[in-house]
Amino acid sequence: MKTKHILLLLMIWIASINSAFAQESINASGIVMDEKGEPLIGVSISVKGVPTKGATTDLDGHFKITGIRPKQTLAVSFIGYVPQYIEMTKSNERMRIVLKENAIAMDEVVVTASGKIQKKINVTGAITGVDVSSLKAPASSVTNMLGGRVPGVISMTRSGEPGKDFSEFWIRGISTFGAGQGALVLIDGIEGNLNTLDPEDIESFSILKDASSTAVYGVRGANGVVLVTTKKGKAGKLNLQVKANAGMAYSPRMPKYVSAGDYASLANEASVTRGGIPIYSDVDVALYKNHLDPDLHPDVNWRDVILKDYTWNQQYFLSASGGGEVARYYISAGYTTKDAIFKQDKGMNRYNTNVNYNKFNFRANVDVNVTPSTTLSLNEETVIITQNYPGFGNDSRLLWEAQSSLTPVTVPLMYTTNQAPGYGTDKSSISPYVLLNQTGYRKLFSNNNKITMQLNQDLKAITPGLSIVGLVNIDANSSQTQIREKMPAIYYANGRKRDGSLDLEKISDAVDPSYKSDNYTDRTFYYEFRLNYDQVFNKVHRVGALVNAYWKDFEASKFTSLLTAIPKRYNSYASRLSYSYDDTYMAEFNVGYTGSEAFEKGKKFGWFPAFSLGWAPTQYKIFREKNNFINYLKFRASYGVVGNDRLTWDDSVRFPYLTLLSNASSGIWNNGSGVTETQVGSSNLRWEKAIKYNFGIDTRFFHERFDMSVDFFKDIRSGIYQQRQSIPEEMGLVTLPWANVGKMNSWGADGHISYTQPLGDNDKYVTFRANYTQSMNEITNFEEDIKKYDYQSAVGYQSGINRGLVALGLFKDQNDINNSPRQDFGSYLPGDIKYKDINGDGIVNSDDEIPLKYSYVPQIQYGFATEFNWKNINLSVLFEGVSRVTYFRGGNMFRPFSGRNTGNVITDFANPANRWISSEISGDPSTENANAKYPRLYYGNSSNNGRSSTFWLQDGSYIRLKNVQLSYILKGQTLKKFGMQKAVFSLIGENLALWSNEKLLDPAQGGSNGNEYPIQRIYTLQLNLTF
Amino acid sequence: MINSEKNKNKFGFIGILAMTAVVFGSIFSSCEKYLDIEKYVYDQTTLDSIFLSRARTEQYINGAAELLPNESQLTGSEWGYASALPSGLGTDEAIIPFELPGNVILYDEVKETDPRYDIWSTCYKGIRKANIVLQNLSKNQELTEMELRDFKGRAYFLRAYFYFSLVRMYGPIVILPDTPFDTDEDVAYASFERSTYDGCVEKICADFNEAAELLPTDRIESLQYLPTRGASLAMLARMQLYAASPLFNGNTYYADWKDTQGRNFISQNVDKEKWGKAAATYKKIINMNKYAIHTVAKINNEKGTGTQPLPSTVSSANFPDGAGNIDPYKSYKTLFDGTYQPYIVKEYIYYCVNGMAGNGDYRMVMPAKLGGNSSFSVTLDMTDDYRMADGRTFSQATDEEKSGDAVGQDKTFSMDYLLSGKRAHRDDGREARFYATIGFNGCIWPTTSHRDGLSSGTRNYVADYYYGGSASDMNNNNNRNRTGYTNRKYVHQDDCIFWNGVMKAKTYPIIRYAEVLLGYVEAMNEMEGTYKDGDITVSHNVDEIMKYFNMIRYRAGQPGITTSQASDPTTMRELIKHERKIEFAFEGQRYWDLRRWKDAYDAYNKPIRGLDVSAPEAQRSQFYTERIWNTEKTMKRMFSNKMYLWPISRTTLRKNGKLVQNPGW
Repeated sequence: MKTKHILLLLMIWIASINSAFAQESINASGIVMDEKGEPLIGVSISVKGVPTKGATTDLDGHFKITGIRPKQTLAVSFIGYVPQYIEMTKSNERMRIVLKENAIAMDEVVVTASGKIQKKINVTGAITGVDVSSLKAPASSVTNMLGGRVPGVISMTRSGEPGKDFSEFWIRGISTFGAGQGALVLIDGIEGNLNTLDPEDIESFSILKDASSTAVYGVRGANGVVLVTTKKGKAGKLNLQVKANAGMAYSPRMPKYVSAGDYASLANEASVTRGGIPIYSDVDVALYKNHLDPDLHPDVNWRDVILKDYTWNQQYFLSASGGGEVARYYISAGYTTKDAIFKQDKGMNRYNTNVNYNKFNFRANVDVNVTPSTTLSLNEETVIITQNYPGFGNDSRLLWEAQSSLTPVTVPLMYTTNQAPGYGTDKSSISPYVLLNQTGYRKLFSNNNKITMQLNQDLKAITPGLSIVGLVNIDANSSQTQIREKMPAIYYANGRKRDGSLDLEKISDAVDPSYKSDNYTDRTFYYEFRLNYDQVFNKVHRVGALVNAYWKDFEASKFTSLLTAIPKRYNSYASRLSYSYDDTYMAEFNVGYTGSEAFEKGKKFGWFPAFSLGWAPTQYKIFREKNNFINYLKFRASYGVVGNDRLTWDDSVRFPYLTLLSNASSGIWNNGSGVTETQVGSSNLRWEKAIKYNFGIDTRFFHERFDMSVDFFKDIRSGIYQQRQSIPEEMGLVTLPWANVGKMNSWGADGHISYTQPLGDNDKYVTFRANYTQSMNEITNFEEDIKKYDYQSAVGYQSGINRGLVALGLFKDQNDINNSPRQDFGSYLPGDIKYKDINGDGIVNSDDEIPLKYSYVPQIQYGFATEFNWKNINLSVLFEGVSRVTYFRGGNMFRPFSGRNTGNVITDFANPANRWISSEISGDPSTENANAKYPRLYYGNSSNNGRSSTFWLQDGSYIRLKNVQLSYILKGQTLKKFGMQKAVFSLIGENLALWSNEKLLDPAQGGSNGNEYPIQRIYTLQLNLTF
Repeated sequence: MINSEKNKNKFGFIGILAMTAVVFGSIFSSCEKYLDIEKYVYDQTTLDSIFLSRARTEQYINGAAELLPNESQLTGSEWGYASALPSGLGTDEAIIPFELPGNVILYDEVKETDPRYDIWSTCYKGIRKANIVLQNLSKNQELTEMELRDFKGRAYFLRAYFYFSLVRMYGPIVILPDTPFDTDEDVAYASFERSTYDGCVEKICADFNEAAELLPTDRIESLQYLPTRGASLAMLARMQLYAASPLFNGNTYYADWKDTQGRNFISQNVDKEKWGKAAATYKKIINMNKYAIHTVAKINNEKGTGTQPLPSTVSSANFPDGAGNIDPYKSYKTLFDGTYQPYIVKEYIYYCVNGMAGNGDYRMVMPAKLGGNSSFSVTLDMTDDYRMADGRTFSQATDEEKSGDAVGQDKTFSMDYLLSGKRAHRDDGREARFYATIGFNGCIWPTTSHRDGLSSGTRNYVADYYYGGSASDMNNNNNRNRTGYTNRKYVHQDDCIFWNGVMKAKTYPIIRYAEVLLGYVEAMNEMEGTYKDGDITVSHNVDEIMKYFNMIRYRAGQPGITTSQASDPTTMRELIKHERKIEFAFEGQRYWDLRRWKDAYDAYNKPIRGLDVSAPEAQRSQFYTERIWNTEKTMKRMFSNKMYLWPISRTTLRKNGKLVQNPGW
């Protein structure tokens, strides 16, 4: 704060000195052009410190300003170009100002469909260009960086496990309840995986949200498109970049479980309060507390046994780029390694059983000028991932499940006689210590290769602005899981024999080490041709055209039946025409003619048209002259149709239009064989169709310091695939067909605003950014059985909405029970949950379950960030939040003793204030608290209290301090001695703080009830060197 | 290194040419070709390809026939599970001591949420298939005119039979348009209200009529199980007979049951002409002169083990005027026990291989000693209705004739029917159909196909239903008979599950000529005036009533009825009901008959009577004491009016908002 004040004072002082010395008046006029010598229209030229003075270049790029005082500075600025500052000492009427294109300011240009780079000023669709520099934090995956950073994206990270700590994300939320809700991700025009992409390789990143920007993707574009381009070499000297970081991760929020003594007394209360006998005798309870009998009265904190306090991550990255006139290159290699937080007992085995994730990235982008007008490019990407797991499974979930289901008293770590303990044959009934250390291990590796060959021919020989591109891509992936599994003999001690030795019962035999492997391969062939045309006529008519065609073919070893193994294919022809007049009026027409093999002959292709219009009133000279506050203003509107051809998320259903037959008998007719349909062909199957409306405003104001953009959207989905579960049986269909019957609407808004306050020179500023995404939806048609009550229907409610009973609190006493409607879920007593009889039939049963606000996917996600730069120091802070999200608390965690002797009890239950306690037990009537957080305990499964209801419905909103990054940037002579241009040292913190109603878990993992690897808090030290 | 200056234009030009060629080449090489999956699926069977081939078309029709309820599965597989219809175990003829889908209706445990029998969707699947056939048959160029007629006829027959099965079970049902629905049809457009009962009957009759027009009268032996003109007419007549019966003809119990347009689902006006329609159809079948009552010639042999001598009350004229030249036992028994190849049995009109052959439900009737459980227990209501050989009713028999004392003398008749001396008098001297149908204490199970040595197993086993007797497995409460009687209608002399024995393949008559005759008699008895259908005119004709009714009686070796009996419709009605009960015992008819006559209430709401099987062999007279059995759940039989029709499953109702449940459910 102090510095800032001083700074401002300083600025005012310098300005006043300037004006004090000014006396004579000089003139400036001339032309502004780009590096190619093309005149630039609409460039703003202002006189520093004199807001009233200034000019804009005309159609020929000319400008003229009079009445400038000597030593005043002209600021020449234009969107997408590096501003220039020229100090005037004398009049100059023939100035030639050449503005350089600003390669860094990516927010001023965006990548649009088919990888075309378009000036943002001309964009009429809803496209978010993501500031690539903000994606450089050492996150596990690019997907994890989207939430709270990118308007228009709803994103949730659900797991902290290395290799699974990626986010699911939806562009503009969920807009279909059908399969394929995810966005299409294209990396350099090829379908790719954001989770394996190294953020350092990204040159540009944009999100296409509306129909106008995705129509050319036709049948694949309904859920939005993510476009990423990777870096390419530039002619010039070698540019070398090295990055290294090391991070320390730990679990900030995990459920805490009670000790053996507390567990035993709570179990006794749970039984006694329902008229049962105590589960554990006083002697037992004492033994649990004093730890004198570790075999039969253990007190195990499974957390301590299998979890470390923290773990390490490392990332390394190296890239080199450069080249000459004939050839340019960009090559990079990255390595990421992460260990999970499990504590392996090295004494138990000789191999690594901990979960880990290692990723090797390689990329080579090479461009060769075969002729001056022909460029040949080869892009190669290889990602190799190796992962390690304990032998029991490809997922650490069981380890968390075992932690939450094994109580501190169930079994010891190991019996003192060295047998492995367990109480059932189910894997979650076996000690996680055994699972982690004694079940062998498995290794996963996957190789992912993408090779793209691209030929770019400039056709200016035919007409300037015309070019053609052809590319071939082969994507070949394979993976293998090697499983070396074993299992020790599992024992359970039933007590002691007469001689005092343990009475061990063998629950399961030892399984000798065995080996097997699972293999997977897939490959994609992709061909594309593009004809591109861009030209400006008479300096004001900007015309663009694009024709594109592609063919895609995918095969994978996971498809194993005659029909599913048919290659998945797409074929698309698309075109775009765009026109803008003087960057003031813009119109764009897009059309995709896309086909998929999924449909029957004659119905494979569909048209997906979209229109958009834009109008930028600030481009009027008159507007500029009259208005100094708003620097830029544009209105955009679009309308279009896109599609979705996915039937099921796993492609298990294909070609449902085919009627398939197989052999039958002739029944009682005894007339030889018969045939019958094994699949009734679904008639008239088409795409799921999305009609999308978008209206947006882009503006910059207050000396371009505020930059704001807002979009409002509405999606009307129709023809969502549903298997016709509820058609009348009289239709007589042998198998249930698929049909385009579901309908759903979604609507909302997204936007961002940023403000930059210069604090002096270019390297001193503070920026505030905020963004917001809201996406709501409502199912408008859903094929379902006829429901007794309207509220039981999916129609009229949010997709995936939580449904349950309405809880009215806990029953106060028997009187309260007698005067309330009967509850049809088993026995209940005072202190149990009381529900509302919604339909008023005098009985509370499943008919009284109603939709309860929100689903597990948030409707609102927002973020705010600030960046402060002072010379060499840069500090950035990002907060991210979600709201309008709920989930049910459940499982072992919130239903102690529901599995009787299984299920760990969280410490929250040990606090008497939190639960209803009968006065017979506490001796105090006030503990019969009808407003208690938890109902009367139950030893066993209380089907009354266990119902999904508002009692357990948890608000999942949160605000997270997602990222804090403090960097020190070194430049200059000292570095040059080492051949270095720049060195950046950073300290980065991820997930540093969390504010939420949910205190026991990370609310992003709320639905997992403690059975999921917790989301990690990570501190990283990073070094970034540029040579 | 490329000399770019030199190659500049050349390469640019070549590049352009090559790329434009590829681009446009690809575009014009048909958009759809790349996405075509024909090469992967052309050699798999698709629906369109079916109707191009004669053989495949026939197979598709067969596939629809596969969905027909297998009416021969009266008690279901092996131990009684999953019978095709409730009519085998849900009627008043017998009880079994364990709970099965087939008998839960007896003690009111059928529910809308768990109806146990849900033939609704299966039948509509069959109807859709039939409609698809009718829609596509004309595409087939391989079919001759004859084949086209036959195939079309089969499809009509199937559609009618599926609708018939539904109507029989549920009463009024949904009659659909004849064009199969598109799979993406809006639920609202595919949801139809139930038609009125008469509307359903009209549709079914039209389809059976159409089938009768198209199907051949005769078939070669290899196609014998396929429906014919006779089968279609017989099914049509059965539908008409049901529709004329009191349950659906002016039944005021359903007075308030109406569709959305206010029409009564069940017509409230008694329409006697409906009987006339049935009579006319029956007459058509009789006039075909293709079918006859099956008889086996009288067996004369000197050992005295041939045909039993006819009682004086029975006409000794040649059949059909008397029973003088036939063996009544064999004439009736061989219809069910697999003695004859079905193709030569002229009584069979529509029939199938008996699905119970193999071990089938023999397990349920055979004594434990022979590998069964003898749990199928026939009630005394049933056995008492079998008359004495001379035509007296059992109640008219003398006390001695009714006693449980042992006859003491073995006996053999009809060549191979053996009677043990241990049999009681009450099981002696009964009519032939009793011996062909009923197994009793002391009855002999010959198992003549027994092929292991004499030391192993049992031949000519004498049934022993005493408590602790060898017919019972005392370790399993379910493996015991509860009344002292069982059903051996479908058991052949040779049948033997163990000891390398065989089970004879058998034929199950879905419709036999006896049903046509009794149906004709019943319809004539009930009709008023005359009814004309084409060149057939029918009326209440006493001569014909006597003629056709007595054919059934004479074949069983029983005395015929008198003119005065035949002239009185009330007497006749009782005689017909009684005759149907005996003639069609355990043939799945009585379940439907009791309902259509509205007799079910009286038939079911009375206790189960049986012998006292809790008595051991030492207490023979106690064993032969009649007693009421109500000690077990499956004996607590009851009937309420809702049970006249089966409930529609809740899942079915939930999928079609226009469906209404049957009254009372």
